[in-house]
Amino acid sequence: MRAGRHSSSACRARGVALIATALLAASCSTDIRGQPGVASAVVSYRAPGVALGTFATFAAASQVGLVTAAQGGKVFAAAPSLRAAVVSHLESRGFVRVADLDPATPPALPPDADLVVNLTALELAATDPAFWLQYAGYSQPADFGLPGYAWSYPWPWVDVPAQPGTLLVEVADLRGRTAGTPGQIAVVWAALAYGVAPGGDWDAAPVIAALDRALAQSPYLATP
Amino acid sequence: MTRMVSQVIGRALLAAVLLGAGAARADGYLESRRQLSTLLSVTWEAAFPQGAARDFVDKTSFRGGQLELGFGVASRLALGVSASWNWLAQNRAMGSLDLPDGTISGPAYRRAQLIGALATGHWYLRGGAVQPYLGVGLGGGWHGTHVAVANVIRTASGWHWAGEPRVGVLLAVRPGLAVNLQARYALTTARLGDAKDARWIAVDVGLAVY
Repeated sequence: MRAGRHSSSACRARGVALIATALLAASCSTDIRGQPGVASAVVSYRAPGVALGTFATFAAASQVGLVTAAQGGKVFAAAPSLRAAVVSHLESRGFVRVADLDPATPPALPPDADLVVNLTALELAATDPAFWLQYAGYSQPADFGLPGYAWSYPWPWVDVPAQPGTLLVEVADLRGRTAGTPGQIAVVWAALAYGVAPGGDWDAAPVIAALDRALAQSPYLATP
Repeated sequence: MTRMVSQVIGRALLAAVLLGAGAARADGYLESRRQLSTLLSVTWEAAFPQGAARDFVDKTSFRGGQLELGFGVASRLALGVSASWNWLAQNRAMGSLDLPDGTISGPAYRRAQLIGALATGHWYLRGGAVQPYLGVGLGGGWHGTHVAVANVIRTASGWHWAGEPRVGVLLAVRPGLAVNLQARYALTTARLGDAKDARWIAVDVGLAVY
């Protein structure tokens, strides 16, 4: 009788211990710190305090600058559809295109536009914020007829590491540029689409889709 | 979702029947006239998010559990406490987070952990080897959330109130041991991301000793 009671108690204890152990194992194997990859992420930025609806016209780069690790000089990516999509988006939001600017042959005078649109294909992996500024393939204000000026970014960059095939779209305030050494042209909107063209096809559907997403998450980039 | 609930309940019932086979003569909980006994239950728990909680995670969770302690205070009534843990997780193809000066979108991970501590009351509808019961739980708990879009991670945590109706059955396997099946509708004030007042249906299966 005593042996039976002992056996029954042991059985109960084992059952409860088994379930408790299973629950403990489930909780211990539960990692709350997971994170997805950065490929296909799109980050859009806006200059704080700037009413983007007060701008009316824009000039757009006619070529997409290509930034490579090889520092291949002033080179460009073939992306006519991407460029057309950017222009189309801005026009559909009420901005009027007044000029196309070829960074390969900078104009003598700055364009008579409120905004300038710069497009860059980043073909390298990098982690430093705004690392593209150091590369020859990136179009500087001088490439748009504004020598003596530099871009400025009025926001802190999110620490997302760039990977090959990352698209950078920038919209800068030409109207409000400030003279100095160098003069400053504030970028008022920018978008980075990470790893959307890993094979270097900048007109591919994922690139256009990422551009669409960048604009979709920036409804404030529009004229009233 | 209804299909999944049915599957879980079906599996739990099957397990209970197998475990409870030959238990016709087993004594139920609170059947001793000489003493009011204590019940300890440990259960595994599946959670089915409901309402606004589905905006945060709409995937069924199979990671959870409950520990209960009941004290018989009358021939059919037990008062006690319970502690529960639930883990909700879902990976979404697309999600977004607002940034101070912009927005990030992309593949998103969402996680939530909910821990509850409740005072409980169970009313056993009958004695015997099969004891259905109705119950309530009132209390509170802690919750933590983790949302990641690319490598941008936002975490939050807080305390919440909780209350729940519950229904269950004890299936005696032998004197002092029963399979415990329970379903609860957990109502809380927990905020999971933008979703307020998280609630979910919990289905428990486990063992009770008394």
